Amino acid sequence: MGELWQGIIRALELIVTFDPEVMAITFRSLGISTSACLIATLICLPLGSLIHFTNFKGKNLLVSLIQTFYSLPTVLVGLLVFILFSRAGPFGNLNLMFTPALMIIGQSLLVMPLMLGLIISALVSLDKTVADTAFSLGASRFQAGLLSLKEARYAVITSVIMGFGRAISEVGLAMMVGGNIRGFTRILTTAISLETSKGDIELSLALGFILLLISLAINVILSQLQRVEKSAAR
Amino acid sequence: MLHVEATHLVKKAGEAVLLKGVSLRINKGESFLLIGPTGAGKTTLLRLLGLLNSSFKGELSIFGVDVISNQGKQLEIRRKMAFVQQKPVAFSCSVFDNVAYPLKWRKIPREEITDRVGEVLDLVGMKEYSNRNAKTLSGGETQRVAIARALVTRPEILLLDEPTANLDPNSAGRIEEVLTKVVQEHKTTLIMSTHDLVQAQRLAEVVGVMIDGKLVQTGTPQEVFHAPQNSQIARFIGFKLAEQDFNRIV
Repeated sequence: MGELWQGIIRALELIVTFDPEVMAITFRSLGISTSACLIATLICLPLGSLIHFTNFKGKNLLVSLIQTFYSLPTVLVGLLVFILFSRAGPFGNLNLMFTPALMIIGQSLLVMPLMLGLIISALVSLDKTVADTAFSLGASRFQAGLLSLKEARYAVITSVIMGFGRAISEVGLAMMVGGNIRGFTRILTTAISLETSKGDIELSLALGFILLLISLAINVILSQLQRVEKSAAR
Repeated sequence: MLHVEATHLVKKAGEAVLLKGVSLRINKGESFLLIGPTGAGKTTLLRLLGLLNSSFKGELSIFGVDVISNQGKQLEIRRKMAFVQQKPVAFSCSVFDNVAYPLKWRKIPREEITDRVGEVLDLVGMKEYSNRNAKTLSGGETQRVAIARALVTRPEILLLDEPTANLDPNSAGRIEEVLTKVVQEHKTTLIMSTHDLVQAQRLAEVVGVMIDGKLVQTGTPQEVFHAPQNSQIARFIGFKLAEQDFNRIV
């Protein structure tokens, strides 16, 4: 218990003194996960609209498949990315293995099913009259899609934040394709894992607190958004 | 000039047959009012004519273009029409922006948008609400914004699904005046469904009676209301008029 208490005090010290290593790891984590989310959002917004507004055979099966991938194990995505980008893999010549760029690619792939599924759900739950009204007033499919996304913006933003939450908290993929290289690919989760195994509880706790603070911030933003959405619906 | 020509339209939803071979012809500038009991297929027919639903059987030509074999021209055709739905939805922005949307989609210059939106909001008596969030409007006000949103495009064909159903008598009267003015001034083809038979008599040049997915009679208001073709139509008209008289007395 004493060790834990000491750990907490040391952790707070590391945070309030802006310890360079802790800050570097934190900003690297935020940078990688934000970039991954941005890429996933840019892909999922048009793709989600396309799937929602197009009627095709197997659409329900595809949506079910996307929803199944919500809880895709991070190590499985890590393994897939590893096979694709390792020296012997089809993208091996890009030399991206153990780089932040590959961690971004991996995290994008990891959060895409969740983001895509939630964007489709947001559009499904939107009153069908919105798209119909747009079409009946001369909107193209693209314009109607854009309007629908705008009308469902709170749910869409929620899906992006949920995706970010999944990206920042994953460890398996980052470890497999990032390699946890100090000062280069080490992020919050991989650092916590390593420092704990080395017995540096203080640093692990400090990084854990930061991760917890990020989760708290995500939750606060989410509940604020839900409040805004409810008041807008009134 | 023929604006709408539908031949033997059949629309199914699962096992249910919503339209059972509807055929009609509507000329440019004509006011065609659809009447019929609830569930007769009026909304379904309007949605097909508004190109909001393309899964149907039969032939449909709008502005002389076969919409089935010319799928690529549907956007061009839709941009010459406007449809006000029974329960209109307001977009999450100001009243002005709601009405401006269809013009932005058509890439109309900003100055012209400002002028046209102001003009049409004035026409429906909503100019003073211009900056208000459209989501905070009452049902009747939303209906008027929806009508303004349709009129601002200066459509050649205006489709309305019971546009005065949510309005008080004064607002309904105002909307009728607006519609009459638009039809007379711009030679707009008006296709509208209504439950109000008196309104149908006031506005229609041609009345179509829909019962159980079929267009059972079309003709002038005089023909339909004074010489119904069968007992089913006579019963509907007689019952409906008696109900309206009763409501008026009460």
